[in-house]
Amino acid sequence: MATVRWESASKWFGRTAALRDFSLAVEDGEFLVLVGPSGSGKTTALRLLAGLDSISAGHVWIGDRIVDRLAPQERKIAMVFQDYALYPQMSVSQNMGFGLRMANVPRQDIERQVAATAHTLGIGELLERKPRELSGGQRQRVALARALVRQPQVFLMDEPLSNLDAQLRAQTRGEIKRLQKDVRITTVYVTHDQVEAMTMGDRVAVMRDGVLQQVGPPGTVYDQPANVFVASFIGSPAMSLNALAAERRGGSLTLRRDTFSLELSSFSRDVPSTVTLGVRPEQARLWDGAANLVGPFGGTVESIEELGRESFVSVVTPEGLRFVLLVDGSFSVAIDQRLSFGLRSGQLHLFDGETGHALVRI
Amino acid sequence: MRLRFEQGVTYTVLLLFCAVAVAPLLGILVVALGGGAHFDNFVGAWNAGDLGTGLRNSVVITTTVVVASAVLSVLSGYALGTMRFRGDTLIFAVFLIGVVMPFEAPIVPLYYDLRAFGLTDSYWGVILPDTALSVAFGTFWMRAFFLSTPVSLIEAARIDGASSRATLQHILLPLARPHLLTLMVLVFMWTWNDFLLSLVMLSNPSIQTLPLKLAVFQGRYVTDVSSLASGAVIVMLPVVLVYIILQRHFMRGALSGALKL
Repeated sequence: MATVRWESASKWFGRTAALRDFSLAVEDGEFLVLVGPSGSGKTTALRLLAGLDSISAGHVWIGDRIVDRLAPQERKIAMVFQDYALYPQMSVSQNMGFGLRMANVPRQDIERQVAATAHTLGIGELLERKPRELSGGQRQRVALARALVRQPQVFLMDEPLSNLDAQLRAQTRGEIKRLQKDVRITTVYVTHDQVEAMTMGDRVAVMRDGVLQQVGPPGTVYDQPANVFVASFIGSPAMSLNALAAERRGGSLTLRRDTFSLELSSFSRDVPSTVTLGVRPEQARLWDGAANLVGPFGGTVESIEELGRESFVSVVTPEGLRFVLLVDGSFSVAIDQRLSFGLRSGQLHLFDGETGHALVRI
Repeated sequence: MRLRFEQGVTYTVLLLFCAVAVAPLLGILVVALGGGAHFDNFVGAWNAGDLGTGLRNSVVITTTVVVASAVLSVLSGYALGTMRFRGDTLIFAVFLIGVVMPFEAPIVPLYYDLRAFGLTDSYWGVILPDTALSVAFGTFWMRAFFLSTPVSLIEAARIDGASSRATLQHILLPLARPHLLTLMVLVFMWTWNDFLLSLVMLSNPSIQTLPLKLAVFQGRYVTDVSSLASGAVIVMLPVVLVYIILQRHFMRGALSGALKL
């Protein structure tokens, strides 16, 4: 068990910075997810922690030790790779026992630990098989078992589910999460899939271009995105973002583009002259005159994503603003149809039009 | 219909090439047997040409070269294929020179160099240059293999606590076996069949290799064709046997199952 901390960690490959001034602390036993698009630096952060890449500046701590110059094997970590990286010529039990063998653990102890871990993960009957005789899901499980059997201080996972089919992925998500809660080993998990991030992490760290954007519990990151990038990256379908001009007049604020106008009374904050309005699909509804809706606004249906229980309807207003509406699955709608919709006041996000930083919820 | 025609053409072409390749060998075999299924010519050639001595010398030299170049090629290929260090491209370029340079070019200076060290007319006079030559190609060959192995396998081994040596020994070498065997067969063939280097370096008949011994049958005025053919068959035989025994090991899908499908 150990805490993990990146302290102003940076990594350059030649002249490009893969990770810039990255500081983040992971608590003992915590499940932290690093999420971001490709090139965001999440894997680099993980590899610096693993010791697979050398750090260019800053420090990495595991427990109360700086591990910058320690070889991977001295860091008491275990890692699950995206392609699993099972040793092809070894059986499952040999794969699992390899790390212990390298640590000169007595043979009987290796056998006992391998058997116990295999039992935990339900792969007891696979121990004598070679990796090529296993299905994708079984290989994934063996990779997990190989990491777990060494009783590491920190568990590192690099997109371990990306090679599984959707159903197996959803199931394995839950299992990994449960397993981590049982063994209580500090875990750093890298993914580009925001659904994985939201469902698995105790906290989620959103990254972009080598820079940490926001870190917090999944609910917080979803409800209070720190900037436009986090707002658009977390949540599916993405938050609708539209640039508008902002006018303060007396105690009210008007957001405007051409004839589109959204007025908020009793608004006393200073805002820049251009802002970005962010609206989650569930905060954009068909117009029903309810008191908590502002509107109505008119728009034309551009595309429809039917999921059965619910549908996401993308509409575009005559002024070119785009919103995604969450509607009931029983509601029938056609492309090019005209709709009236409203936005839930109190649940809308306002970002600085220049910097993209979150301003206030309106 | 069309498919069958194409297949017919393919087979015809292949058979033609096959015939071109096999005809000289068959010719040698026919001459060696002297028109009947008897082996007197072989016994005669064996005794007249002192092929027993030649065989012993060839075995000693070839075995040493094959083992030495296999070990060295694995080590240098592993370093150049999996590690980054200062000057690695330069070192690899030097190895490449060994691959592309025609071996005949430096053979005369090589002779004088080795004579200065007193290594001509000794096994070393052939073993050292042949090993050097094989390691140049072997490094190129093994480096290509190590480059093709997934980096994550090496990284997984590092995290599992394996040293560089242990990673090579336990993880990569078992995977490299088909590649390495292929290399060893090639080096075996080249060394076994080498004529020029042995001719230049070995003048004492007691350490001459098999191919050199064949020259005995070809005097200035007479050529004992049937003995020459029989000797040639004896020289060829080990190469053919080694190839037949090892060919099923070549390039088996050693990597299947390591990664995602």
